[in-house]
Amino acid sequence: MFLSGLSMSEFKRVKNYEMFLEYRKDKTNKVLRNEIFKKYEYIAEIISKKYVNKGIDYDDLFQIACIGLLYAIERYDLERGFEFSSFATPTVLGEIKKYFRDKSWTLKMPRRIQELSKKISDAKIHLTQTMQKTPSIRDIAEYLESTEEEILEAMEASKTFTPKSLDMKYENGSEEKDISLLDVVGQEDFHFKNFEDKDFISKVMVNLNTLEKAIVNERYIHGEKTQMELSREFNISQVTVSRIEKKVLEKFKVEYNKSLK
Amino acid sequence: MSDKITLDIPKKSDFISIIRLTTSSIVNKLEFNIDEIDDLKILVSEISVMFIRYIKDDNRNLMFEFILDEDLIKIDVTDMNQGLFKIDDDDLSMLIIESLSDDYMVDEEKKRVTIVKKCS
Repeated sequence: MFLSGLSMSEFKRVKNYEMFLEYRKDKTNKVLRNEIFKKYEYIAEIISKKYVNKGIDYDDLFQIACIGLLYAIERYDLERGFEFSSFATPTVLGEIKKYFRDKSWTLKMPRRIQELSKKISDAKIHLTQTMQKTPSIRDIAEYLESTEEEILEAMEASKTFTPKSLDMKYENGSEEKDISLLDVVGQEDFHFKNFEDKDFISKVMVNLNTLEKAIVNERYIHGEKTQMELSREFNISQVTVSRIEKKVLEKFKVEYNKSLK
Repeated sequence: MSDKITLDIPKKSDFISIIRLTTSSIVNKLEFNIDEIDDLKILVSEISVMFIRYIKDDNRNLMFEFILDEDLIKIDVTDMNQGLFKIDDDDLSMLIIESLSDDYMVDEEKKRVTIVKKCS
């Protein structure tokens, strides 16, 4: 009578037998499905809580777990005689793991590196315990039978698991104010560069004669006069201004290239 | 072996254009680029203007001596007229000469200005 050959009495021992039997008869019965779901929601909750603080928000994890639970309800086979909870747990877990594997990497990594980075974090824990010290890259490479380069590459890649937000706040031990990551990210000091440039310009300017200085000043530093304006001002031809200006700029170039060496 | 060209020309502002034109034609022989040719034209006219401004006497000619070497030109300009040749420290022509020449020399006694320009 029953495919699995289980007797009716054994079959009835499964919890909520009637509900599952009813749902199997009519899978479009959403009200019933939701009722079953409510009864087993705790499975999704427990499992998703196990995976918090691993890079995905709890709310997201719970959502995934719930999807897993729905799949489980959908696929649950009463006739095998197992409790629903023992079937649902691996299904939900599988769903969460799949999500971690596919979705949580904000930047897509080659599978090889994804898998390696997981192995590395396991190896780190294992080796730290067995060696009683923090393992070196070489230790990990030997343990995983991989090259040091691959380990380094995978370690670097694992940082992109989730990009860090620049607004991320760090606890600042002494003061109340938190430091955001943006505050501590280095950037080229504009003022320093400015200062260097000014220093460089004034150094080169020392070697210029008064006319050359005047032209540089009026053309670039204290004003933006045209060569025509300057030629009228100094009573020399525009070509002369142009030539002197070009000469001076060449001098700056030569000095600049020297300063790079 | 260097070639020498001499230009003996009346000390009048009307002739400055001839000096410039001659200079450009001479330096063109030495594969100077157009920028450098401009420089040299400015240089010869500034030297001429300087002599005209400082030494009023213009009975005698200006003597230009172009000495052409492989990759440089030396131009000697001498004023044969009577009068004192004493250049001010902040003379504008002098500043221009300083800027545009590779090397220059002023001999106030002989009333001679020499400039050297290398071709790049």
